[in-house]
Order: sequence, then C-alpha cells, then structure tokens
Amino acid sequence: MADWDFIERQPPRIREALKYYIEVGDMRIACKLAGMDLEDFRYLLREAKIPVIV
Amino acid sequence: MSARIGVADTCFLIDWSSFSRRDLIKEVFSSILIMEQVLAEAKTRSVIEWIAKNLAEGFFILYTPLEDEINEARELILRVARLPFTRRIEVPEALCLVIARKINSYVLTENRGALMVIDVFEEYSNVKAWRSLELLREIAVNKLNRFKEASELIMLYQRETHHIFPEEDLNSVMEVIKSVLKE
Repeated sequence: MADWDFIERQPPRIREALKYYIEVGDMRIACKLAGMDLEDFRYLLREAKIPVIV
Repeated sequence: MSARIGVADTCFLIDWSSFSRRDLIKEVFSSILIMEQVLAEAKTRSVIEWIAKNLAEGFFILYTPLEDEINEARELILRVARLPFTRRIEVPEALCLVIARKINSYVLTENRGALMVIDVFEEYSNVKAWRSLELLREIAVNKLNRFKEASELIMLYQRETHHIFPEEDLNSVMEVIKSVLKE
C-alpha cells in the first residue's frame, strides 16, 4: 500500500521518519525525526500512501 | 441534544477536517473545546478555515489552560515517559486529557498514547476517549436509519482521510451499529 518509490526518494530525515512511522506508528516522534510539524507530516503520510491505523 | 462537550486534540482535528461530512460532529456534541496549544499546531488552510468558522459560530470554544492545568499536563507527560510500555504524549494531548478529566467530558483523539493514559492511570478513568471511529459509531446509531448508510459513512471517512481503522475495532463497531439499525 505504501508508495516505496516516493519514500525512498525523500531526503534522509524524512525517509527515515516515514520508515519509523511505518514500523512504530508514533506520529509525534516521527514528525520530530522528520523535522516537520504534525500537520505537515500527516499530509506527507497521505502523499506516501501510508495509512494511519488507529 | 443534551449538552455533551468534547475536547479535541490536533491529530483528531487534522483528519476530521478532511472529511466531507465533518459537520456531523454537531449532531453529537453541543460544543468542542480547542486548547490554544492545539490551535497552534493547525497550519493548513482547510484545517484553519474549519476551526475559524466553528469558532465564529460558537461551536468551537477556544480554551486557554491555566498554569496549574499546564503543570498537571507536564506532570502527566513525565509519568507516561517513565512507563516502558506506553506511547509518549505531548503537551497538546496531555492538556486535552487534563481538561477532559476536570470537566468529566470526552477527549477526541487519534493519539495512542493519550488513549493508553485512560487505561493506565486510574485518575483518568472517568475520561471518555473517542477516536473518529467511536464518533462515527455514535453518529450512526443516533442519526442514521440504515446499516448500509452507516457502513458507507465509515468507508467514506476512511477513503477521504486516509485513516484506516483496525479491523477488529471496526468489526466491533459495525456489530454495535448492526444491532441498532435496520439493514
């Protein structure tokens, strides 16, 4: 489901943050890893086709 | 409608504001408290516009936490951080929990850490935490007539927000809805 081409194309911090989120599901930590605001990270997840499962 | 008050955190607002049927929340709640710290995290036009519109209509109420409430939230964050098995929480969701506990109301959150607080800390056990899934369940059983409508509404939410409900939880909610609504 996730767009791995999109994920792998991202700069390192964002790429690792997306992978972290996929693995752990903690959006707060993931957006800090990415250096992004929560809302921006949420939209990034949509672009990366990573579902939020809660 | 009885005076049911909700306290909404950021992750809930971000997703719910993307939902085309988002105003259905007004069928369940008489008002929603928005912490200043939650508002500060809202950035994009669609989220801000929706918040501003509802603030203007009086459905959303902007709340400035008192110093002791902020201190209690910080203490809660530390207590959670000390536990090895819980998801961390930050100031916005911690404040939502503190205020919801104080006024004995509902927290609207998608944050797993916040959901865990209610299960782990007895003093927060009076707080009712709803994800968007529980809110949709409430909308369905109280405002819709047919199970098919409810099912379509929940599927629409998932599609529009890219927020997927865990299968077990979704099935459980669907069973509740099915027991109340006609086919």
